[in-house]
Amino acid sequence: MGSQILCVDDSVTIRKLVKKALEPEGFEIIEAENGQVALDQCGKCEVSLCIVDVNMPVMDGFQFVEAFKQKPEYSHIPVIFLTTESAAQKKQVGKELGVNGWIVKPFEAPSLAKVVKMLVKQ
Amino acid sequence: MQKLSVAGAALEIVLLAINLITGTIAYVYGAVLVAAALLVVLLVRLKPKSSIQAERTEENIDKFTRENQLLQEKIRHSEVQMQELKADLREKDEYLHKFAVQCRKIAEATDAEKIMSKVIVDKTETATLELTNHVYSIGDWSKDVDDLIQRVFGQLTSEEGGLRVQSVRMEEELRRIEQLIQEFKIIRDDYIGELEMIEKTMKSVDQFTDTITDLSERTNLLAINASIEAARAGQAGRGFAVIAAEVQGLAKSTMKIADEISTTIESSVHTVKDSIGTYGERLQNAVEKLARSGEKHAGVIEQLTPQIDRVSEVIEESQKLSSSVTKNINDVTVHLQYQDSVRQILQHMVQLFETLAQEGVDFSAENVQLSQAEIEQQADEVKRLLKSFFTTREEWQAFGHEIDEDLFEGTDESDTQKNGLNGDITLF
Repeated sequence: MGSQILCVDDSVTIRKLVKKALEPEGFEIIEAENGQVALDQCGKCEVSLCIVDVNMPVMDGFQFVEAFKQKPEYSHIPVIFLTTESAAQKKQVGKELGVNGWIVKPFEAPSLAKVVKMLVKQ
Repeated sequence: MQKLSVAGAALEIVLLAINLITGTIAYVYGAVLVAAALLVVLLVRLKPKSSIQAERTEENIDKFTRENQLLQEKIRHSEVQMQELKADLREKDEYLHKFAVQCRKIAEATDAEKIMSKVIVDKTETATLELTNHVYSIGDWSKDVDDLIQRVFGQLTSEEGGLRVQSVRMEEELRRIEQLIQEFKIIRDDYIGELEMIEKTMKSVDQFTDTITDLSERTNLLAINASIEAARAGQAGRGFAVIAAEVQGLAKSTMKIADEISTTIESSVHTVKDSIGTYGERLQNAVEKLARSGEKHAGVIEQLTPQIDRVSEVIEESQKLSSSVTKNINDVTVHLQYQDSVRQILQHMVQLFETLAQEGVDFSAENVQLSQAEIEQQADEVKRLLKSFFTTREEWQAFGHEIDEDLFEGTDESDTQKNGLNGDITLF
């Protein structure tokens, strides 16, 4: 089985589309519907990269990344935000949190696959 | 008496003033009236020292009486104004109460809106997910069909054992058949030529046998004559007669051999002639068969070539179609993601209305306190109003209502089954 990618999004459709975009490239997708569930999932698998939505119930993307990056065992794992948010201010928040990329929805499957492959190789 | 009436008027003025003072807007008039009353009391207490003073006092009393009348008129007018203001205030209070009620209704409606927006999100999410699955299924099928076409037709057109290679081999075989036909024709002509030569040779041999027969006959005749001459010579010719008899016997043997040779040659010539006819015909048939086989081969190749080309085209078209389907699926999946945007926009709208509704409730609460019964009444009214708009089962379910089955008449299943229909279809 290939590298594990954690997809954190409250939209089941988006999670499905991410799965369909990355599985043919040999990645295994771990799904979580919010930041809290994602943090719980992290302990159960070896995540190579996180794809995270910003606006989610319970724990949003920013809160998740903040908590995720604070843990030394996860701090080196690349994170991409995949969100409808496109404001520069929000992007700046993401950058300051140490994320590696920001993809505005809607995304194209080949582009997402390219970015993920690029970051997982690094 | 006059004093009493003046005192009474003063008292009335004071009472009116007090009355007005308690009002909210007649402070000024009240103050004036109090001052006037005090002045009247002061003047009454002064004793007239003379008739002039008495007259003055009378005049003053008249003057104050008139002023009192004027003031009473003003007081009445103020009372009317005050009543109007009170009515206005009551009206405003009612408006404020209505506003508070409306704010509460909006707050209740916002909760309902949240529930309804959740219904929308859930429904669109389900539909989008379903659509996504279907879209990917189409993609998978397209890929499978393309794989199958590539595998089946690819083998037909492959470098090893493919149709094109087979076709090239058939063309080579055809050329070899044509070459074989030519060689057979040459062999046939050579064979027939050889047999004709044999026939000619035999015929010429037959001519020699005729000469031999002629010579034998003439030798026989000579031997007979020699026998006659030997007999005439008597004893002297006895030896010659033996020789003549031997020569005659030789001539007869020669004649017999010549006959046998002639018969044999004649038989051989017949055999050769038959051979020319039979084998020549067989060779001709073989050549014709080969030619027909060659023609068939050529026909097959002629038909096969465009079909092989068509197969190559089909493979190419299948690849293009599969690529196109993949691209379209990518496009569709991009558009499917707008559901997520719509969901978020809807959430933002709900948040906005929620904030505004809460602000309205807070603002109105500063001025009007609605009772619990009133609050519950507004919630009930909103629910009742909302219920009157319901058209889908999902709305009823979302608000925990028992579905009014009168609104959702069940489908006549026998009718749909009979017509081979699926879904909620009613035929009238």
